[in-house]
Amino acid sequence: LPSDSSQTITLEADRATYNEKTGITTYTGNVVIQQGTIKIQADSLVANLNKNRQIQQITAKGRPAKFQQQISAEKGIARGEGQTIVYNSETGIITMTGKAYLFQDGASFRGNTLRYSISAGDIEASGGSQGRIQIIIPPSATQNQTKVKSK
Amino acid sequence: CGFHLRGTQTSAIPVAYKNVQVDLPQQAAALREPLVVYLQSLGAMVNQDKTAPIIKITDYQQTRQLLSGRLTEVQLRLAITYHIESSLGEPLTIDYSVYSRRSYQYDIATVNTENQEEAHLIEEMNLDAAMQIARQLHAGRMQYATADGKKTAP
Amino acid sequence: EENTAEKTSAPQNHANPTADEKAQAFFSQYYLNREQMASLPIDQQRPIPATCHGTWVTPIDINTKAADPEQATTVITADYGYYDPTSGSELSGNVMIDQPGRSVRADKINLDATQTVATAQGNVQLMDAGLLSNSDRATYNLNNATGKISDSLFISETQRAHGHASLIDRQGNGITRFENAIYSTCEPSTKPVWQLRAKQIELNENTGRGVTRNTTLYVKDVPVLKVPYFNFPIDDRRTSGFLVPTTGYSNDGGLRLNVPYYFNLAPNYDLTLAPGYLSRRGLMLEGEFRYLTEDFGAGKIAGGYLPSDKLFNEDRKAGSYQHAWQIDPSWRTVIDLNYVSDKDYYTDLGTDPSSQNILNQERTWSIFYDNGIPGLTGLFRVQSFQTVDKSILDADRPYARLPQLLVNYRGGSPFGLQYEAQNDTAYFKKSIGDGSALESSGTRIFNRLAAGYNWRNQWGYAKPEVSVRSVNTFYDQDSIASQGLNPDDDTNQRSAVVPQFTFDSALVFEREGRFLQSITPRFFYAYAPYKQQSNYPNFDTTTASLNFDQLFSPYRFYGHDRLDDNNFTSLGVTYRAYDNIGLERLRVGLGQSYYFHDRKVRLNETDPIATEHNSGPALALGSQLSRNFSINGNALWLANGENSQNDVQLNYTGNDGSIYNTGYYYRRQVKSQNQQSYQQVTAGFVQPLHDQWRAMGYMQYDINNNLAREWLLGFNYDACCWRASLYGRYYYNDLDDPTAADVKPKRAIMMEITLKGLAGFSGNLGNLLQQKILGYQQVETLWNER
Repeated sequence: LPSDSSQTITLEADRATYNEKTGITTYTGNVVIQQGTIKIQADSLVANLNKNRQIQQITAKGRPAKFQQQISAEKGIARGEGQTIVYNSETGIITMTGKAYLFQDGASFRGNTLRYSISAGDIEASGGSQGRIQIIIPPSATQNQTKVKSK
Repeated sequence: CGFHLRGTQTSAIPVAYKNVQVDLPQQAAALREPLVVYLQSLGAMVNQDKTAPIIKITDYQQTRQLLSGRLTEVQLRLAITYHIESSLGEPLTIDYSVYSRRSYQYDIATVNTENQEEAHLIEEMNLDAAMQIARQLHAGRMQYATADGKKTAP
Repeated sequence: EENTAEKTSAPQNHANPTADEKAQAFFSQYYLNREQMASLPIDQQRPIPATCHGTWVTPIDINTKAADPEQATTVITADYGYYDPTSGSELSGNVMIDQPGRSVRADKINLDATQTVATAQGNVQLMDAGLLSNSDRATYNLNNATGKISDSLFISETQRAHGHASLIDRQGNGITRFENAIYSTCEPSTKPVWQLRAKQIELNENTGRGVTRNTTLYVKDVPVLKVPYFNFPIDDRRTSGFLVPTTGYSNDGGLRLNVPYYFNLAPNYDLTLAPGYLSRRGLMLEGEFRYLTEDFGAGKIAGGYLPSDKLFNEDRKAGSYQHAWQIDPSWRTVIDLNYVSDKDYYTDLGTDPSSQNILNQERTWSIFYDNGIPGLTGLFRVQSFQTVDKSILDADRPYARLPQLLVNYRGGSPFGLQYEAQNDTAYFKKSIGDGSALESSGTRIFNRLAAGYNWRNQWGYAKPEVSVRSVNTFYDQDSIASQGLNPDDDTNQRSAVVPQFTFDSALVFEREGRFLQSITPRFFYAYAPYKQQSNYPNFDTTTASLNFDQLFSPYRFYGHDRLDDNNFTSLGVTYRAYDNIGLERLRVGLGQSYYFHDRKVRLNETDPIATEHNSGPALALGSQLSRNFSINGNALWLANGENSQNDVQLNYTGNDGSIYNTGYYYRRQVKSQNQQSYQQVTAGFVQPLHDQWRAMGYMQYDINNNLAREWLLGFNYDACCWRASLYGRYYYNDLDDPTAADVKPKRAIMMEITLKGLAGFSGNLGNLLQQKILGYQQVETLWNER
C-alpha cells in the first residue's frame, strides 16, 4: 500500500552480527522483515543504513528468498521470489535475480532478473545471457482489468 | 452328399458373434430391420449387450443407371461396405463389401408415375444385402484385421 | 499494376535476395515433399495428393479447435519484457504470444494497457488453424482474435492456397479480407501454373464463398483474363452444377459460355444469376433464388429464359419452385412445381449433361406423416403433370390426382404375426381434348388388409399370408356423359373384392469344405380368385418386369387398378459358394412357375390372356470371380422355349484405377406381360494413361435399330492445382425416337477446366460418367486419394 513506506520496520532473525568497520549488520537464520504490508523472508539478509542510520537498502538471499506486498485495496497481494532480493526503500524498487518469479494482479512473471517498482507497479524482466522471460496472463486478469477501466 | 441343414451340425453363428450390435448410417435405415431379422434367425442376440462387437456399416451407396431412350432398362445397384469392430471401436475384421443388383424395363411414357416397381426392387436389394452380411458372419471365415489395422476391400 | 505485385514478380538478380527469393524461402519451409513428410511424427503428417510433389504443413493443425479468445490463457515468452499495468508493456527478442490454437511471433511486440491489442514488428508470424502469415508489421487483438497484417506472405492450408497481400484483415467473424493480393493453389514457385492478382479477395467461412474484385488471372505470368467480380466456393458446400462456369461446343447450339454470379444477399437468402451465350441460339439467362425462413422451412425458385431461339424460333423457358417445411417431427409438407417450354430444353440449353428431359413435369403439393404413431405413415397430395412432348396423345398422358390420400399401417413383429392395412383414395382427372379416347376420370378407393406369420430359424423360414384387396371406381359426370352411360345406372360404379392366400418357404442346406457351399430350395404358392374387371379404367397401373424375383411375387401389376387372379406355384433353388475369407464367389438361381389357371385379369382389354401352364425357366447369375472381376446376368425363357429376356454384365476394376464394363440387354416382345422388345449393348471404360492423363468413355449401341444410341470419349489431365478434361459426345434426346426421320443426333464437344480450390469451367463430366459407368464414383475417390 502507498502507506507502507511510512510504517515502522520490524525485523526478526536467529542471529545478527554488526560490523563496525563497514557499518553493516547481517542477519541470518529464517529472517523476516516487515514494513506495513511489505514482508520479506530469507535465509540471510544484509541491511545498509544511510548516514542518519535509517535502512537504505536490504539484500536478502535464500533458497529462494520471498517477498510479498498488498498493492492496493482491490488488486490483492503481489508475491515474488528470487535467489537474491534487493529492496531499496528510497527508490521503492525491488530487484529479484536468479530464477526470479513475481505474481501480480493475476499475471505471473518469470525470468533471470525482475525489477519491480512498488510505487509505480511496473515490472522489467530480462532473461539474462540467453535465458527467456515468461509472462502468463490468465483470461480473468484481462477481463477484470477491462472491468476496472470501465468503472 | 455331405449337405446338411444349416445349423444342425455346427451352430449357425460363431461363438464370437453370439452377441452383436448393429451400427448403420442414416441413409442405410432400410437395411436395419432385415439385417436384425436375419442375424436373429441365425441365433445371434442383436443390440442387447453394449460391450458386444459391432457390425459397422461404413459405406452405403445406392446407384441408378439408365440406358438412354424412352423405353429403357433401369439398373439399380446397392453397394455396402462394412467391418466388425470391438465395442471400443478398434476394427476386428478387414472391410467387406456386398453388392446387390436389380434391373427392370421402364417406359418413360407410362401412367404409373410413382414407380412402385423401383421401390419394391430397392427393398429386395436391401433384403439381399442383409442376407449376404448375415451369411458372411455365419460362414465364420472373416479375415481379421492385420496388426497395423491395414484395411483392404476384397 | 499494383506495386507490390510488380516487386515480387519481376525477377532481379543483384546481391541481396529479392522479396521473391525471400518469399520462396519462406514458402519452401512449410511445403514438405514426401520424404520430409515421412520424417514428421505420424500425427502431424498430412496426406499428399497424388498429383503434387508435396503439401502445406502449417505449425497449427487445421482441426485444432481455437479456444474462445475471451476464455483463453495467454502465455508470452521473450528475451526482454517491460510490463506496466497502466500504460501497457513492451517485449523484445524473439517474442512469442501463444493462446490454444493461435499464436503470434515477432522481434518486438507492444501490448496496450489492457494487454489485449498487440502491435508486432520485425518478421512477424501470425498462426492459427491452417493459416500462417509472415510480414513486417501486424496488429492483433488477443481478445477477439482479429488482426491486420501488412505486406504479408500467407499460407492457407484449408484452401491449399498461398500468396502475398499488402494487407490481410482477419475480421474474426469468419471473414478474412486480402488487399492487393496474389492468390494461387499451385505448388510454390516463382512461376506458378496460375495465379490470381486481385485488388481485393474476401474469404467468408460462414457462407463458404470467396469473392474477388477486379481480378486478373495469370497463367505462367501471362495475364489471361480480367474479371471485375468473381465468386468462388472455398469449401465443398456448393461447388458443382449451377455455380461453376461451363463452356463447350455442340453441333446445334454452337459455341456456348455460361458464367454464374453469386449474390450472398443475406445470411438466409441468396441469388445466383448465370448469363449465358450460345452462338447458334442467342443470349440466355438462368437464375436461382434460395431462401431459408425462421420456422416455415426453406425453398428455392429457379428459372431459365432464352428469348426467340434462332434455331427453334420460339422463346425457350423453364421454371421451378420447390419448398420443404418440416412442421414437426411427424408432419412435413413439400411444394414442387415445374414447367418447361419444350421437350428439348434441357438437352439444348442445360449446363448439366446428366440432367434428363423429364417427360412429365410434376406439379405437386404434398403433406407427409410418419414417425409419429409407430407403423403409421400417411400422404395427402394434390398433383398434376405437364407432358412436355406434344406428340403424346391425351389418352397416354398421366392422370392428375385432385387430391389423393394414402394411409399405411404396419404392425406386429417380423418374428411372428405381422399385419398391414392400406388405403389409397384418390380422384383421378384427365381431360381428353384430342378425341384420342373417351373421358374416363373418376374416384377410386383401394383398400388392402393383410396378415402373415413369420416362422424363421437358422435352417429355413415359412411365411403364410392371408390378405383381401378391394377397389371401387366411380366415373365422374364428364366421363359418364362422354361414354354415353345412364347416369343413375349402378353399373357405372365398379367394385371388386379379391381375397388372396400366399405361402413362401425355403430351406438352407450347407456343406463345409475349402468353399462353404449352400443350396437353398424355395417353394411359393399364391391363390386369388378371378373377379371380372374388364372395363375398369387404368389410372396408375403398369405391369411388373419379368425376372427371377418376380416368380415369387403374387403381383403381376404395380399400381392399384387391377386385382390380379392367381393360382400358381413357383419352385426355385439358389446355389452359393463362399471362399476362405467369407466372400460370395458364385451365386446361381434357377426357378420356374407352374400355373393351374389362366391369368384372366389384364392391364388392357386388348392384351391376350396368358394361358401357358408354366413360365419357362428363370436364371439369375452373380459371381465375384476375383477382387477385380465380376459377372452378373439374368435369363428367362417362355413356356414354348423361346428366350424372352437375358442380360449379361462384365465388370473389371483394375488396381491402377482402371474400369472396363460391358453389358448386353435383350428383351423380346411378350404381349401378355406387356414387355416391349429391345436389344442394346453398352460398354464403358476408364483407363489411366502415363503420368496424370486418363482416357474414359462409354457407348450404347441399339442392335434392333442398328444405330449407335450414344457414345462419349473423353480425356482428362489432372495436375496439382488444375484439372482439364475434353470430351466429345454423340447422343439423342431421350424422348426422341432415333429412327424417326426428323430426329438428328446431337454432337457436342464439352471442355472443362478446373482451377483446384478456385473453381473453373466445368462441363459436369463427372455427373454424366457416374450415371453411365458402373463403379466410376469409387474409382474417382480412390484416384484423388491415391
